[in-house]
Amino acid sequence: MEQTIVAGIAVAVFLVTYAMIISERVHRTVAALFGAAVVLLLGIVPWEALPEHLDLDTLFLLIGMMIIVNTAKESGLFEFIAIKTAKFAKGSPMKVLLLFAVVTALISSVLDNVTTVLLLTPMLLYITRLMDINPVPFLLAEVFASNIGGAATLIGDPPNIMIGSAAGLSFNEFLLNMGPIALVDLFISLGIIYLVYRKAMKISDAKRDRILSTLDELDEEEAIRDYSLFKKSVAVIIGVVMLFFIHDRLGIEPAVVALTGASVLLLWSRMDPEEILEKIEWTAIFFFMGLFILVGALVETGIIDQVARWILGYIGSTGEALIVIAWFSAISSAIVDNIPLTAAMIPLIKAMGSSMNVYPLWWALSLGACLGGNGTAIGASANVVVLGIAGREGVRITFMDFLKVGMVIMFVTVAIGLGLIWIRYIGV
Amino acid sequence: MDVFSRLIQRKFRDIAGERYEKIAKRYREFLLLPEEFVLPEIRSILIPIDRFSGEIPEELYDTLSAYSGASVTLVYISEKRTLALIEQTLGRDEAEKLRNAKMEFARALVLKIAPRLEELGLRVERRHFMGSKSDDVIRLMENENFDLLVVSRSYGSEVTKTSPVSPVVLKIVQHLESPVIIY
Repeated sequence: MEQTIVAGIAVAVFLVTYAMIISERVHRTVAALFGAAVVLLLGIVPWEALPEHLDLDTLFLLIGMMIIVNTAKESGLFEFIAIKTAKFAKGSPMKVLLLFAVVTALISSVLDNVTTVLLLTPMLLYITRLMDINPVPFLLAEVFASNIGGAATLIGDPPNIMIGSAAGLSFNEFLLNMGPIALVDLFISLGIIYLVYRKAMKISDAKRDRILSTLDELDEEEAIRDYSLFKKSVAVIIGVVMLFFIHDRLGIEPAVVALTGASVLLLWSRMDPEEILEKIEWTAIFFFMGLFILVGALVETGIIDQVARWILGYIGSTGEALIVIAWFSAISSAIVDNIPLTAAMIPLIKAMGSSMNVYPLWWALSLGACLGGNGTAIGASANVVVLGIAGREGVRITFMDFLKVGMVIMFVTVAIGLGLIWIRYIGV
Repeated sequence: MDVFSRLIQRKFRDIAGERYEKIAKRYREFLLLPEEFVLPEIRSILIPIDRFSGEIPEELYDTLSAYSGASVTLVYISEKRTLALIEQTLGRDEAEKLRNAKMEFARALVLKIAPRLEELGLRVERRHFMGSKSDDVIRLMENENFDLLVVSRSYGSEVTKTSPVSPVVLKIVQHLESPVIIY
């Protein structure tokens, strides 16, 4: 087949698949696998080239962390943390907002955002029902905290895992570059939410006494289903995080750290491996595989190189590229799933490496892909999960309600992050 | 529901699957709201009895003593269909004999139970009529707004008592929203 026709087919399959993913008419995994099957069937991605396109670092890091989360979840660890957090807040709406946001951000920085919000949102809704106040600001704070917390580390959000693997960035590099941005953005976001909803965050002393007595009745120990597994899970999670801090000095890949933690926990806990492995989100893993193959088709046909050359024709410096990548990925991530966006952007940034220093661009991509999701209700999985739970529990947050606050948060947090990256790598 | 709400619900199903239901169920096991901590106030209790009910255990008297001052209605319902069947097969006289025997049994049973309940400070009312053991208990609970039903697991049972809980009791509890104590 002529090269231009092959390239045209690769682009068409890529666009149709992305349109299917955006519309959600077909499950995103089915869409990605179908697109991957087409490019494999047509030989656009040769079978021998498959291993170089399938990013095993990303896939095994995700699998390892999913095993750890699913095993730890069985012990009641997350419910324990949720009840403890609620008790620490002592019935004060401001403290509930602050503590739940900080705890959500911390857990999201280590574990996946969806699991974090799935496990913390029911407790947050319970507390707001106890306080008899509008749960919307608390739910929004949880969403933003989850996305911001996920941006802070290499393992916090799938785009970061993909970027880290593609660019060979370490856990500490992520923490040093994205950690301060996440910290500043978290408190700025909470400040914005407080300003918007401050009137809804007042409760009487009598109500606070009632909440305190109800919280006293709650026993966090009751949430622990398996005390032995609880202790082992905490030990393994701490061990894994410690290993992430030194993985680059030890010369081991982050995926190896995650797989080691997962296998140690499975061996130590004696949990039924079939039961745990069944709970791995295989749909997400296959979604990633499909995307890697689809993007691989664009690389194989030279489309990525052509697009990179075209971009470089308009962008002359790293500073300009920094602004374009951060805002393009942020605005796109608010509309499109950030995983396919990151999958497409990574080879593009790699290709731009021939004529400029792309190191700061990885942070711009991470910033945009992770924080852009705060912009709309469908921008990130955590948003969808919290809004879905809220809907089921009778709390209505419309797309427009979210958009009004989300867009402000997105623009402010990305601007702050971009400013910090600029100061660090481009200079004042 | 607007297009975005539908999109969010569709995405939610794809992302969370059935995980949320399991987590929510787990939370419901230990999260109670203040109003759920308050025990419902019990002012009237219905206790249906029959020859299968057996003795009221001492622990149940202890439990009922917590509702001192409430009124208790002891009701004995003779199954109308059984009497009709006997009248058709053995004749009116035999049916009348059985009815009288049941009346006597009911009176004796009520006389045995009522004083114990009165000792606990409960006001006891007695009733005996022909009807359906399940439908009439459900009707009484609903129409006369009893706060609590206390019933033996063998109420309305057959002689062999093959089921751990009689089908009559199962039918009653499936139709009631009020609290029920099964002894």
